[in-house]
Amino acid sequence: MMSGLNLKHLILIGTSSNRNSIRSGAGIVVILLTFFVGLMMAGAILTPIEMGKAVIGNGGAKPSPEEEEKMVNTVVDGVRSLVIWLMGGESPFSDKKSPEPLEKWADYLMKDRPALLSGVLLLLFTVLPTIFAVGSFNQTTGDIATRGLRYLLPRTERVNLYFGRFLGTTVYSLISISILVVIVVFYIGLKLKMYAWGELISWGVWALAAYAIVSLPYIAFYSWMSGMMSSSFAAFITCLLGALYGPTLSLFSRFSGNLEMLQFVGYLKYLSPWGIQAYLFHHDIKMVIMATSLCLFYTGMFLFLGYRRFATRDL
Amino acid sequence: MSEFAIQIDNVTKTFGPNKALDQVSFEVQPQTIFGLLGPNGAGKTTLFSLAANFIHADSGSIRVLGIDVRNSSELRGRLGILPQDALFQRNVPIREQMVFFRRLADRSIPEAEQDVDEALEMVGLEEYRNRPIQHLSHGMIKRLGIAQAFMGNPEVILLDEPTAGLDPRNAHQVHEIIFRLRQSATIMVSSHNLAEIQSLCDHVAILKTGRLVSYGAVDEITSRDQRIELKLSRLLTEEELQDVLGINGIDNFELLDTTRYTASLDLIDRLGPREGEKIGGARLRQASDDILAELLASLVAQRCIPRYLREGNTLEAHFFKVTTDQQ
Amino acid sequence: MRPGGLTTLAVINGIFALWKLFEALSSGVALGMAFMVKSQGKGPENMPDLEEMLEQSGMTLDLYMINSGIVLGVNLLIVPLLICSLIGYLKQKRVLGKWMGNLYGLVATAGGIAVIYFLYQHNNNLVNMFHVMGLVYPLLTLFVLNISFRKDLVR
Repeated sequence: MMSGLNLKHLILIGTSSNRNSIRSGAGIVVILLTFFVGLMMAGAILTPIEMGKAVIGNGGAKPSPEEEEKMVNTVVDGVRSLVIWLMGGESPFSDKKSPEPLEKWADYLMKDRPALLSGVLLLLFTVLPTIFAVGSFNQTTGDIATRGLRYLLPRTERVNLYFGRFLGTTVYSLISISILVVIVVFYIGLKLKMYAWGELISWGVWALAAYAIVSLPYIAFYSWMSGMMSSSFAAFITCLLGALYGPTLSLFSRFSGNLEMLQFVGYLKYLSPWGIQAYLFHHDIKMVIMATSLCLFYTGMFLFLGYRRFATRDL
Repeated sequence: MSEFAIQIDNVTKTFGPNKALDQVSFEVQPQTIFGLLGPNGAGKTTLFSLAANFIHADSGSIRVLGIDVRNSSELRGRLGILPQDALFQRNVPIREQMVFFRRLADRSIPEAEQDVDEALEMVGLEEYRNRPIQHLSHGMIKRLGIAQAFMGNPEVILLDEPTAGLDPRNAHQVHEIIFRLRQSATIMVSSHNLAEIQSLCDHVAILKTGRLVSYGAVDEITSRDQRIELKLSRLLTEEELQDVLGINGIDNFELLDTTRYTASLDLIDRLGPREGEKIGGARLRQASDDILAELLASLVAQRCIPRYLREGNTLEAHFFKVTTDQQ
Repeated sequence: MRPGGLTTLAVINGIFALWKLFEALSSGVALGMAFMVKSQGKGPENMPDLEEMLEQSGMTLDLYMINSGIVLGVNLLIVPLLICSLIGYLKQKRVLGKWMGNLYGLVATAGGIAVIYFLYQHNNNLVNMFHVMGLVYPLLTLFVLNISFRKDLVR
């Protein structure tokens, strides 16, 4: 099934696909979406710190270290509550205490790692699947509809078309996310001056690796949907529903109250990368390895299902 | 090495409840131009799509240059195709797209650009090379499609309706390109234009509702059937029409309009069954003359004077015969 | 017919032009209020303690005026550039599209950096992520005009 795989063709097809994506406008929209949404998310976490510092240091007076520390701790506590909630714990507005493992995990993210950067990175996880969907739904479906692939089929194998476009889309998404993470890391380092460069950069690099790993199953799934549909609109809707699958189930399980019968629905989120992606930032390396393996498993499964369909369908 | 450039062997393809192709078999000799004819829905485009491995047959096999088309990697660079309704990328200049196609043939950028420039020059599109596809007319897009099909000098070229929708000038230019290509390649071309196929092709196959109804050399096929058109001085009565149809060798005699009639002549039928005997052109012409003489005598005897008589397209006669008889 | 990407840029230009126009108007109003405080010693009727409010948020009146002035000036420059380049993208013109688009990218980037610089000099906490966001589209414009669409804006 995979015979005819050609690295040079993969690269050619991937780069051509990305170039065409920008020329068509879709790639421009994806870049703007990534940066605006990503920087807004980062701003939501970081701006309270900056405003707080500006207020307590009003009129140009430098705030005292105690004043600054108190203000920063207040914001960091808020970020910690948000992070716990994002990882599946209690809401920031709830009086209940979250389970001990989650509290331990939050301690790792807030104390052992740059707290504000942890908050930004986890918050970005909530929007990345949707951004990936917008950038990935049209990998092949548009060309299937216009039969444009018929000019390529005598020249290369289906395997190169499918995986070339998958790789091109993944690289494009990762470049956008990487620039975003670099901006956030340098912003925190240069502006807030709260953390050492070493810990910021190392946590930033870890985050890039995590985003790279988590992007694969999502884009593989969207690749499958794109290759299955003959309509770009249908592919877009399906991919969007795929992106919202995890968050919808998470919210459902949270708001199902004491109905244990319905709470099991929340466990269905583990059938997608959504349920495991946060574990890529876990303090226990075994959990990180587990999450990575599951992401790679999902990637393999989606790529297999997607290519099997693409290889046999009429083009 | 196969003696045939293309071998279609018992190919069947179904789309849902519709059988698009039903056990079709024929061969195409190397370095010939082969015509594929048929009414709409006959299965021509389906056959092209199968040969190009765009779609997969339910049963049977297609071999190009002795290689099963399902092993498409072995045919890379040796088979070119003009698909009927595929669209080029809208946002990309045509030269850039064509260079991308050539790069997939492991050509470097300068080599690919040179190949593309030569191909565009051959089809008369060199001045449009940096324009996007939207700037090209329908005829130009067809020529561009042909250019990408023969770029790289493939040994077999499939052209699915290369002149569809073209004005006579553009169609003529396409014919010239096809004639030039036959020096080095085997070409299979489909068309609705019977005169075009008759002038271009060495051999033809005719499909009807997915089945092969006729196949052979154009000369041989066109010599078996003849079509004529007559304008008479008056309309024939029913009895007179039956007399005409009773003439041995006249297949049908139909009114076109007012007093214009068309007739199909079956020359083989006139000569009678001759198993194993090859019938030469002279005997077929004799049979044609005999039928016409008898027809004219019958009409004159009934004081229905032919104002003019002309021979119609003979491939057309055969085409109508084979695609109508089996209804 | 133009590439879809140029149409997309034109649409985004339109949205940004409206946004920057609104920003320019707001800055103009802010500047007016600051002048009023400077000359009369107090702000307008609905904001008499403008100077104190600014100081509480970490900004001085002078810095507020400079910031508003820069924002007003830059936006008054870039709104026409956005509109001209919008038309240029749609008609694929070299001067109106490529040159005006590049000029917008350069002016907006320079203006954004100027604002960040002035605010940072006084109190780096006045600079926030939204200032960084303001640099994204101008830089993206410079990139796509000179790489992706360099052969399309030629008329």
